[in-house]
Amino acid sequence: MKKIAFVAPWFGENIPGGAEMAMREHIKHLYAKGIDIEVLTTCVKQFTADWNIDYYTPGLDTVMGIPTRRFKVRKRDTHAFDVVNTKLMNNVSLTDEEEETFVREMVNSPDMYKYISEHQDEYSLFVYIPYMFGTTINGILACPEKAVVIPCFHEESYIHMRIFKDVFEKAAGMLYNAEPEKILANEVFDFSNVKQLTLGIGLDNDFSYDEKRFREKYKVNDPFILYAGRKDVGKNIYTLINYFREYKDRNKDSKLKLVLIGGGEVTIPDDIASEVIDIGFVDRQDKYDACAAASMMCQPSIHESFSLVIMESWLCERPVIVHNRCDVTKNFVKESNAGLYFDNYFEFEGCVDYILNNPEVADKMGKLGRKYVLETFDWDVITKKAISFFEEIAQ
Amino acid sequence: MNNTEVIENIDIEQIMDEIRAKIKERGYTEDMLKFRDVAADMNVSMDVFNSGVFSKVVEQTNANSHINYYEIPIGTGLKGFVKRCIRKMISFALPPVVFQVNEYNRSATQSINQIHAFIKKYESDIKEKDKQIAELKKRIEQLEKNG
Repeated sequence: MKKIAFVAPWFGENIPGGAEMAMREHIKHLYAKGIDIEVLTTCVKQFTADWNIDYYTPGLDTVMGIPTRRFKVRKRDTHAFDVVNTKLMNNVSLTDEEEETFVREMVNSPDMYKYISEHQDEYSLFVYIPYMFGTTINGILACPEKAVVIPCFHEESYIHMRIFKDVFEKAAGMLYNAEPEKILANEVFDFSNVKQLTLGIGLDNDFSYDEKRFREKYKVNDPFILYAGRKDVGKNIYTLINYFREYKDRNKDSKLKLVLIGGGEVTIPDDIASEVIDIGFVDRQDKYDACAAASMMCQPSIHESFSLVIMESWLCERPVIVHNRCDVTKNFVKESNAGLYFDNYFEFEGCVDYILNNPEVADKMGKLGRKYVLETFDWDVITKKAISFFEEIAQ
Repeated sequence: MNNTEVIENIDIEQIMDEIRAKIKERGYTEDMLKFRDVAADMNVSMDVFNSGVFSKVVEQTNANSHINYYEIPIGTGLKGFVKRCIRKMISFALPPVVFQVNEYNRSATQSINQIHAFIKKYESDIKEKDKQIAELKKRIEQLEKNG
């Protein structure tokens, strides 16, 4: 195999985001297996930066020891993009012209597409991640026969854009994070001519976790539900806050706390301010210790294409509760028997009470979760599967 | 029975059935809750102010405040022809309404932008004042200790 290029709108060692982290990890493990990897990206710093600003200098760079080619971005009409993007966020379908505006005015680098087109013979494959960015759409069009996509699809208005259908159905391969993502993709697109594989994301599991260490360091002695991740409306965190508030109101004697870890800001109602402990960003060790100390982790998001945090909770042997309307996390829970799921407040209350009142079963769920992650998401297994998939397409 | 056998016996569907049966048995209904239980991205309590959510909504309001009635694409072919005919037939009534709606939207959006700017300004002022109060409290405590 020749070089494999991973293509993303931004790339850096510490930039936040699930897809960004997944890409870094895939690259790191493929590189360690001796695969010749290169990254093609723009000069934009990260998702939350201004997509009109070239933060990095264009040209060849090295990130995590990986050769990284950065290209200048095209200046965008931000207002035109915001208008159509707002419609999508509000589930209003777009006209063909508006879809074209969306793709044209989002992050794009014509220099990158020219490079892909002119240098395609030097590469076996171009792997794009995630699906909705200009770099993915226009990159695929520059050389569709060598395009593999790690789309990170989930049910949202963007996936139903007609303009994506024409592009993704031309790609050579699709790699999914979870089985429900594959099912969704095949409901929306005709991938009869596209090679597909549910790969998943691997997890490092050689770490320790200590419940006592967390309790001593953060002075949390009561049982608690853990929320780990970006504190963002899009992650459905206010459902959890509302539910916890109602739970405390209906169970006045309960000592249960809600512990939040991760970035972002969240507004906690005054009446439960003393019951919610927002620790903010913590290092990895503290996160694992928090997972181990929690009675359960709650992942309320309904738009997950993987969810690393529930895997981390399982690796620390604690059960999880997830939202019924997120096919991906619910499927993980059902496959592993290592947690419960809720569709409304009363089911949430039922799940929380069940786990608190049945500590032995909860411990067993945690053990099942760990077993599931170790068997399914070991990096060695994932990387081997990825390499044979790439080889098959490259032939 | 060894540990592996024990842990493999868990069936979460059975547990979920038990939980649902209990909910039914106790006769829980949504009207017992103090909030509207909807699983949505913008599921924020109505009585809790969130600066980030407010900014996002203001952004959306600005982006959507103007209706370009004449720029709405109607396509080609027979469907497009029919749509064009309908647009002509209602042209005496619709544009004035759209004009009025746009005028209203403009005023409403400007008002919201003003409120947003006001909140943002006072948010930073309050933060600064809180800092000053905390420092003054410290100094008072120190002075009280010293005598």
